[in-house]
Amino acid sequence: MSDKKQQVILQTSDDEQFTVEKIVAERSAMIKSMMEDLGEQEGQAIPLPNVSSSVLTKILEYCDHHKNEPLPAADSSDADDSRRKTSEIGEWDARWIQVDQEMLFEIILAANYLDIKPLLDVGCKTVANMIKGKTPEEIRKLFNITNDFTPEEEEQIRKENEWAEE
Amino acid sequence: MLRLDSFILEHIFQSLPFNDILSCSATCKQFNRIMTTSSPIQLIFHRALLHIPTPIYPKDAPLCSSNKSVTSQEDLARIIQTERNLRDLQPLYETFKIPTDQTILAVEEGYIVTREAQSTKGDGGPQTVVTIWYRNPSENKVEWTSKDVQIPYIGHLTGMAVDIHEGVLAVTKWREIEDEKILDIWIHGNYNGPGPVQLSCLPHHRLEIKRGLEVHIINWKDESNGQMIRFPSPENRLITLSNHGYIGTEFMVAYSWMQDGLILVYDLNNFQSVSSRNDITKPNLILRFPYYLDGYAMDSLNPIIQPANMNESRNIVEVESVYIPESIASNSFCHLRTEVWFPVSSKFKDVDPLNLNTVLTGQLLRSLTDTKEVFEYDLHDVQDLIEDCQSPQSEMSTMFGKVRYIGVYEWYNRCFSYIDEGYIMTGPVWNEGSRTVSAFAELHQSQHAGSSADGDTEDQSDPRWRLSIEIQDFDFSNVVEMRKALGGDGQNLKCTFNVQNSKPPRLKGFYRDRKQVNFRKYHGRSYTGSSRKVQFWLKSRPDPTDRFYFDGQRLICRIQRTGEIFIWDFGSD
Repeated sequence: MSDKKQQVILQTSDDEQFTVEKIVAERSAMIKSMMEDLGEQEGQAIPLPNVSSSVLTKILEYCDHHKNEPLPAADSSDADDSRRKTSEIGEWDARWIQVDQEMLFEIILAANYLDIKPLLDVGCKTVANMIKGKTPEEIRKLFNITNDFTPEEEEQIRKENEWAEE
Repeated sequence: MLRLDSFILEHIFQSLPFNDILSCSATCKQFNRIMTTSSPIQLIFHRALLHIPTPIYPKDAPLCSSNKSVTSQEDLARIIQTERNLRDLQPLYETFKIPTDQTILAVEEGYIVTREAQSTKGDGGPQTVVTIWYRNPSENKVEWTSKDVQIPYIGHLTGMAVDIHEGVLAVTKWREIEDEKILDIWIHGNYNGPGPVQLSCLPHHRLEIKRGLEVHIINWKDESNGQMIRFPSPENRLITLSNHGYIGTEFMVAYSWMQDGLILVYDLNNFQSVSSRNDITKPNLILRFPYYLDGYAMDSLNPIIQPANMNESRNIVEVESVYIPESIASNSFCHLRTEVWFPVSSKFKDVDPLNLNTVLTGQLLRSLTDTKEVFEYDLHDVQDLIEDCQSPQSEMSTMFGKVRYIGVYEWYNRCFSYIDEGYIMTGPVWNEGSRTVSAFAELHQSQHAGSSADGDTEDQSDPRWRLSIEIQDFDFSNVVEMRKALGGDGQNLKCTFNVQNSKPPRLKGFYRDRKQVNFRKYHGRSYTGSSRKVQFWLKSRPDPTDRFYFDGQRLICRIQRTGEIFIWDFGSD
């Protein structure tokens, strides 16, 4: 057990280098396994070609805040527990993820890439919360989606769905 | 939003309530596609459906009118769309392990149903435990959860069939009491649903389970005389009619299948007598069924079905002929669930029904050369189909990539495998019965160098094509005679014959699963079959249209290209 804080260097897509505590970086299962693969090579930066520095800054904030929590077990699923309600986002997380939509998607993509499951969850639930209770048209507007259904298809789907709306 | 890939969207949608999932599916095509093709989300749908009290079918719909179709046009359109969407999917590869004492009975809609090999003793007598495995829908990682369902006294494997659809599990057991044949059906509605219900139905009755769990028992000879039972309903929990109906995959007495909330049962008893082992050119049966629904969801054993005609405007495949090999009809059984298997005929007459390597689903005819390689044919493009069928080794580019909803099985004692809702299942198929079981022919393109799948010693330098024929359930005690019969040709064919008498088959691959052996144990009888691989070396490439047939005594090989017919007589005289 060494108390010495081990440091890891992460290099983003825009070639910025971040020196972070190992325990923080290890929130990312992807970085963790990379470090294991690389071994103890001091000073070698871990490249993260899919993550920009602005997003990484944000994500490291998250990782730093959660660094002392136990890492989620690989098989931490419970049938009843698993469909958690969308509201179940921690207070700090909810505040932290109050970002613009662009950043939110960047965070989700990065969380997926870096394999940070709780963060991916938080991101996805945040998006789900945005969707909740909205009509299809409102959802399109929210995310700037083009309606690519023909009127016939739209009518078709509306019909299929209407039985559930009683 | 569209920058998020489908995996992430799927993840997002999974944490939405049901109504919001519906809203999203109406948003744009990408979302819609995810909704209609994601197994976890479909699972949410199915579960939600089960808890919606109002059936989606009109309440006052006539029970037994002949035009009461499984599909409304809307349903059909949705299914077609689903098929299209499925075509574009990248399948999910998953490994799923079940305990070795479990037998896989069914895979559908993300559920895998297994049963334990032995019945256990319960308070009210012997119990059979059927286990439903399902993927935890809200984890992006594959997590399997199981739920046990206790079924009273199913007994051993024979006569039992299981199907699961829309969260409804139906287990059937067929039994005979004096002159009556009784079919018991236990229906287990979802996991939180009511307990098992036993139903029996009369001959010529058709049993349908509709969404909302109405059970319809329909006399299909006299359609005015039907019953409808709302299920669950306390007074209707046990319905005992006499005589027999049939459901499931057992024996050759019925077709039955479960699709779209329906269990359909057809009695095939009458056709047994006209089936013929050798005469596979004579139609035995004419069936018609709605193409999209019943077509690919039909459960049956091993009939060879030839849809003669596809009338797309009516969405009907007219099934011209069903061949029921006598070997199956009489004495043997396989425990097998399959989506429908059509060697598609008449206009695709070059597809060899003995190869059974095509499947019709949606708009596509898919031709399988083994469990991994899949060709797809658009049925609008018949020419392609015929050409490709004649040279299955030409392009093997279409791998699993586009196949999602497809049934696959292999003939007789081989393993079976199928892909359903993104799940690819493989497992052994058991077969026990008479010795008059067909040969299974397989073609190897490679020049057999380094090929060791069958453990044969091979002439590594022989450039000729190897043709392996697996012969099963045949008494090979008179080996000397056979060597003589097979080896003396000296012309175009050279034959090696690998004999492992009186030992369990040691072929790698299909038999490495110990279940083959386990089966013997719990079936209480010894495994009388044997499996041998006969190999031929051909100077020219074998053609998939070559036919091989083994009738228990003679191996008949017809080389399509040259028109030659080779017959080897294994008769013991």
